[in-house]
Amino acid sequence: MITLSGISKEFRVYRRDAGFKNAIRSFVHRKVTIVPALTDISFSIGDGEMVGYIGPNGAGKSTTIKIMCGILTPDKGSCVINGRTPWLERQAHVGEIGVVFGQRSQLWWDIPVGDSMALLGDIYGMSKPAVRDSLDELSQILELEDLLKTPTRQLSLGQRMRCEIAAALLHRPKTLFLDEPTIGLDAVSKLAVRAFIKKINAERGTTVILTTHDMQDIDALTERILLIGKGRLLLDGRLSEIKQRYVRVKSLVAYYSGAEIPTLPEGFTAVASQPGRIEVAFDSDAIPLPAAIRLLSERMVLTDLSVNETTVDDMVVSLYEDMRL
Amino acid sequence: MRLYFKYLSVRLRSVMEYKSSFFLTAFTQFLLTFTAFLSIDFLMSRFGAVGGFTYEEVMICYAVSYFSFAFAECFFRGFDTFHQMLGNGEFDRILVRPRNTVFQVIATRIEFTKLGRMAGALLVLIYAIGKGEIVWTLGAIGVLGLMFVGGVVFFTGLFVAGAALCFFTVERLEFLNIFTDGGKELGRYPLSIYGKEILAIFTFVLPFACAQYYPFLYLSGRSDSLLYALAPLACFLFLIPCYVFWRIGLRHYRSTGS
Amino acid sequence: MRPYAALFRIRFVHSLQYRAAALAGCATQVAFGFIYVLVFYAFYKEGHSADFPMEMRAVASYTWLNQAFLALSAGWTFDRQILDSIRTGSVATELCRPVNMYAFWFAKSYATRLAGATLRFLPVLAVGVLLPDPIGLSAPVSWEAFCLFVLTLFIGAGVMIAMMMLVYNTVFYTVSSAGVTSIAMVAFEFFSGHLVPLPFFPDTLYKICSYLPFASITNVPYRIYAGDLAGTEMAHAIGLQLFWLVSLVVVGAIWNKRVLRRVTANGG
Repeated sequence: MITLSGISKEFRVYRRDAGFKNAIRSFVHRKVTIVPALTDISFSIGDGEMVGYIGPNGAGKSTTIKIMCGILTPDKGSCVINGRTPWLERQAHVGEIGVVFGQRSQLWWDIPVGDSMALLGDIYGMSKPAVRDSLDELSQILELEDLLKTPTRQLSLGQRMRCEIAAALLHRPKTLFLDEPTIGLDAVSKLAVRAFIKKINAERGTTVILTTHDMQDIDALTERILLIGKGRLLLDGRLSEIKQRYVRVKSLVAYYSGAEIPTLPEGFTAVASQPGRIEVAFDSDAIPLPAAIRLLSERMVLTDLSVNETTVDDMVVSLYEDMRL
Repeated sequence: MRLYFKYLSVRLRSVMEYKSSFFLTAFTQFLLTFTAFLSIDFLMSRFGAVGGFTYEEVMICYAVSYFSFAFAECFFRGFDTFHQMLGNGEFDRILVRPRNTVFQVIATRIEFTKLGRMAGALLVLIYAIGKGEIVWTLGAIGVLGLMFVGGVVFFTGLFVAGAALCFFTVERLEFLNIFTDGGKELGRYPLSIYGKEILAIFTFVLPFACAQYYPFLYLSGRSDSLLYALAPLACFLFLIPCYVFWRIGLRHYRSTGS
Repeated sequence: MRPYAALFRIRFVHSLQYRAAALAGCATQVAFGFIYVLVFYAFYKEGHSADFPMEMRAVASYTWLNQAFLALSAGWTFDRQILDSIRTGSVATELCRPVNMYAFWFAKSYATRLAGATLRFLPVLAVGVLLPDPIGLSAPVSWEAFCLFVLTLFIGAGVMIAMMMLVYNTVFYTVSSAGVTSIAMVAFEFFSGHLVPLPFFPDTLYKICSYLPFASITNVPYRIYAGDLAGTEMAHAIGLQLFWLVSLVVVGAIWNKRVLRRVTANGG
């Protein structure tokens, strides 16, 4: 059980103008700018839930995760995870969580993955049989057997990510934090990683909190999302509802035959146009997608059609507009 | 402690992945102590004595200074290169593991190439002992051991204080070398030869003289004050403010973020 | 010559920006100046001055100049960019530019070093000047000596960079640059007389070392300034400096062409 209430955090940024004089001056007196990183964040997550924590860059995702991991202390508010306040009982707390920072490795670079795992087992104070059991189970789910003898540096990014996740799960944490677990992976590896996360959640009942920019991660993994922007929690709800509510403008790319540029039906605007290809935007509240396709096909001979991906950023943009942030 | 040896063996295995590079670097470290020794040798064999100390006595001081510095660099390097841990997020990783942070900082960075340096200093020490100017009673050996321990504690204290400073600056401050490398370089000779002022600074501000100079007076029979013999223990006192400073820095990190 | 002059100017101005590092460097250099000077002073105080192969005053000037211009003459600061470009093979892409790689690197190294020294030398010299007589920096023995000091300082830096270029060339043949560079570092530090001025070396070793190119870096300029190197001995030393500069540059440039051809042949 994770409960955050009223978490706020400010960063002090020391600014210094360029130049030697200013460098000297800043030794004596520093200009401080206070940047609010998080404002009054409250939510709670039940055991075994999978939650997507999303928002644009600089929104405060990492700060929240770092607070929940006990790395940072908030200025205000309370955070209780499995009955503990992370920054007050750091050692006890982090023994029960697993963390994967997508861009940083927790494995030792030059030694085989299996040796890294053994050392991690020792760090988390696990007995040898417990390490073996957990590792057996994980390597079955994550298909790691062949990788365990390979030094980390020789793994591909996708293989490495599988090992990273396994390393974070070795000590059977109750909660798993995944910070951009699919960043930089190719499509196949992404699918594999998503499948693993799902499986772990189902088989061990691990609570999973996931930050990502990849809308497909969210689609595949989580029902519930927390959307954060400019340090505030904007939304907490089911993905499908939110999509419906806030992503009104859809865009379509239509490929057509014929040299003539077709005139568009009412309610459509052209975003980009070149011979044979036109990108249009429309309000999906007013015109549902099937109707839109029908209307377009009346005006041109469609050869191909693609619906543009709704990105987190699109959602946030329309949310910002809505909330006048 | 068991876990520390696990870390040690992992580190050793990583290093052995690049054997030739490791041995070359270790050898260079050895050469560095050797050239530093030659720079003493050129002067001492030309002039015979300095500040009332013989060549062999200077050698022992040099060995204490270089060996304890190299030992601190080898096993407590994590503090010396702490700015890197902060910069690349490794420290966040340390914070999400259920172990003491100081322990982890020490255990994750062990610089075996410094063994080359230690070997160089040790050779000089053995040579000086072989000269047989000092009567090696059990007490004398104990005092020599204390000198090494005091030196290691002193340099480690400096590294910890420097690391604590990194919490505020993120970058490593080059002027810290004045105290670490500078202390080691000054320590090539008994600290009294540089004049009263330097000796006072290295007694009361940075207590390196408590590890190198005062116990050496006892060791060489110039003084029979037990206080001098036990002076290296004062270096442990020096560790206290350094550690307090580290704790302050750690709290600052947690409230500032990365 | 134009592109190299332009590169030199750009690097020089760019390197002048690192003021914080320069400030820390000044403090470090002053501290180490004290450490080195005080060692010699300890011997001097004890009445060994009669056995000094250099006057105490000359040793002090030598030490302060050495610290002040360390950025120009320190043999242990290799250009990481050059080393990395060789190691990663990205040097091959730099070959696309219509420049001579040797001259390009030479100009870059020289500019970086000169900028570093420009930022640091004045405060360090100021400290040296303020110190009392035998341990402080004295005035140059004569105007001629001062001019020759400046001239040989620049030639000396050239000789050192030419030697470093040889090190860069050897890096092409090795996987990791750590070994070659660190051995070279020790050699530079020791044989140039950074730790102890060469005249304090045992006689035979001193004779041998004064013929080596390392002697050109610090030994020649600082001792000319202090009047310790004068007359025909000085003329010989300057001649030797020029000889090393020319021959090392020629050898280095030819060798550099060959290793670069190897890179292109192997596809980088």
